[in-house]
Amino acid sequence: MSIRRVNRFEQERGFITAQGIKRVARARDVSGLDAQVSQQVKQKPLKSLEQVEHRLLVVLHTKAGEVSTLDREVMYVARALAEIQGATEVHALVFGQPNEGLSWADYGVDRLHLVTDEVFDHYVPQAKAAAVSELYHELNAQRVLFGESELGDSDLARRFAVREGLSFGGELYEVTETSVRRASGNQRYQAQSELPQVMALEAGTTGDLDLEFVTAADSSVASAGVSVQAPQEDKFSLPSGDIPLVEADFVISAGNGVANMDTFNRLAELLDATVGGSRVVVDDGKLPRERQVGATGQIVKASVYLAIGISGAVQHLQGIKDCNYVIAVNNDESCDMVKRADVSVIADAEEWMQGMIAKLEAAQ
Amino acid sequence: MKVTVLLSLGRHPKSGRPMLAPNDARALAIAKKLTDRPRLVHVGEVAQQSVLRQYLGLGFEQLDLIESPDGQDICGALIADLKGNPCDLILAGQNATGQDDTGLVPYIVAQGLGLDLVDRALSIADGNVTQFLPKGQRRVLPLPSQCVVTVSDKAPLELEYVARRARQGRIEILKPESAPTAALYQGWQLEPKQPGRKRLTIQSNASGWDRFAKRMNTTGGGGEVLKGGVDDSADKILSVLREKKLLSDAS
Repeated sequence: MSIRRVNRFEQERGFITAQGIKRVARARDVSGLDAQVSQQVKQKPLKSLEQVEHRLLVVLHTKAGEVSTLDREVMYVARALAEIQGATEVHALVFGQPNEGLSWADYGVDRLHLVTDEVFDHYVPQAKAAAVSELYHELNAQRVLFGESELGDSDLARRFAVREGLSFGGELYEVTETSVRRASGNQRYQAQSELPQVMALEAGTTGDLDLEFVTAADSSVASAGVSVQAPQEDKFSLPSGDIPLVEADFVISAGNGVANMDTFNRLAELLDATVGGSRVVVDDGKLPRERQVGATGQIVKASVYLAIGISGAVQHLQGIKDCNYVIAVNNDESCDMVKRADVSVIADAEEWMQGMIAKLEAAQ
Repeated sequence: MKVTVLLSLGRHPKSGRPMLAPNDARALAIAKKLTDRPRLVHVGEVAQQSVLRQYLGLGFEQLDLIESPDGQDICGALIADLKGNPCDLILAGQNATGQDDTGLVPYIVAQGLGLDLVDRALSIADGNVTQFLPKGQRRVLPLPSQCVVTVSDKAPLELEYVARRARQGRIEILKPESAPTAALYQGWQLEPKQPGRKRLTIQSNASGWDRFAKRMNTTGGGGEVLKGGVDDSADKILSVLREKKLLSDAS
């Protein structure tokens, strides 16, 4: 007796995607899927509240007009808490001028309060705390959320909580519907409590950042309401060579494809970037051990990472997982670094670096 | 210059035994540069004297221990004591490592005394305080005449421990001036740390088809690939760097 093989679906169904993967959708006709998909994705439903009983306030700073991933997470957590509770608006108090392109509606913010006074670029934490207090009372906010960031939010959260005498939870690494958790006793214990009134969140409280809806996101320019004088302060950056790799904002990294380290160092000097390297380069003694990027070296959190002649071993890619924008220069288009990079240049490393140096020197 | 350093007890990261708190040792290093004999203050149990001697081992003669039973609010006793012993500068580590670790005590003290607070100091010299900022940035501010300064965990640990000094130093036990009040945070339940965490997500109403469509729409792996000449690609990269404000507009 022979067993007749029955396919669960007809092999002719489905289609091949641009990436060369076969896709089969059993429920629907997938012919013309691209058109269907783009239509669906473009139109997210608009979230509007009929009645508002509670308000949550998120406080954040922009850096060079951008919103950090941590601040996006904080906004998402605020939105999630609002969704769970219902009839809750999310307000955001933003210090600094944000870029035009930011879509606050996608971040789940119902109302935006911009504070763009120039004095807040300086160290005036008390005036900032006063501005937060004022809005807190005006909104009668239920909770105030901050990101635990060294750019001033951590400090501001504590100042505000003490000033108003509110319950405070800092360095929170878990937020659920009803409770929060944080480390205590030098990471040996965990402290758990109900949702406090002032929350400062660490990175990683949520794994998702995309909402399935958009909000109306009205914005208004809030005036500071307090007149303060900027202190006489001097803000400076360490010389790029002295910045530890973990702290650096702009890292230029050399791999096995860099034959001439003099050219590389000259380019790093002209770009004023912090130097890093792959394991091969460090093992060859071309760079000191503390300059190694990767799983066995340093985990860098640069906003731009320029990888020259690095093919992208898994261990190296682990070291740059927190980098925002990766530029790869490599002569092999199929390497893993090119797959990871936001922009890749397919060129010989030495030739390309010389070209860059010529351009930068001409501009000086 | 009269300097007071607020000390807490740390906890060893592996054994869990009480030990000196590294951030407070950093604050002591800054204080030692400003004055020979800063005042060292700790609020806590008398039973922990032997551990507090570790601070004396860093080169100090005396430490004032304000008696307070475990689990009571230390801030009231601290503020009352600092009102009685005024000083120009109060230093403290940015946060404790082994207690509640919220980093709130300096803020409560500053509020209680009505003083300014400067956070995350790396060093103090010539009436200026250098502040830590991320991404290799630093800020130098004039030090207010009377203030509280918290010391960053990136400040250097400079003082050397000498066992003889730890034995010879004196610990003066003071009775608190105010009656002890209940601890600041009663709502927190402490338990041994568990690995892992739950991440908060908004429950999705999307159907399987919607999730499928969303995945189909995201382009997998790889960004823009520039294959042209060196000239074009260099221009493109320079414009990206300018956009990210990492290059001055001139270059």
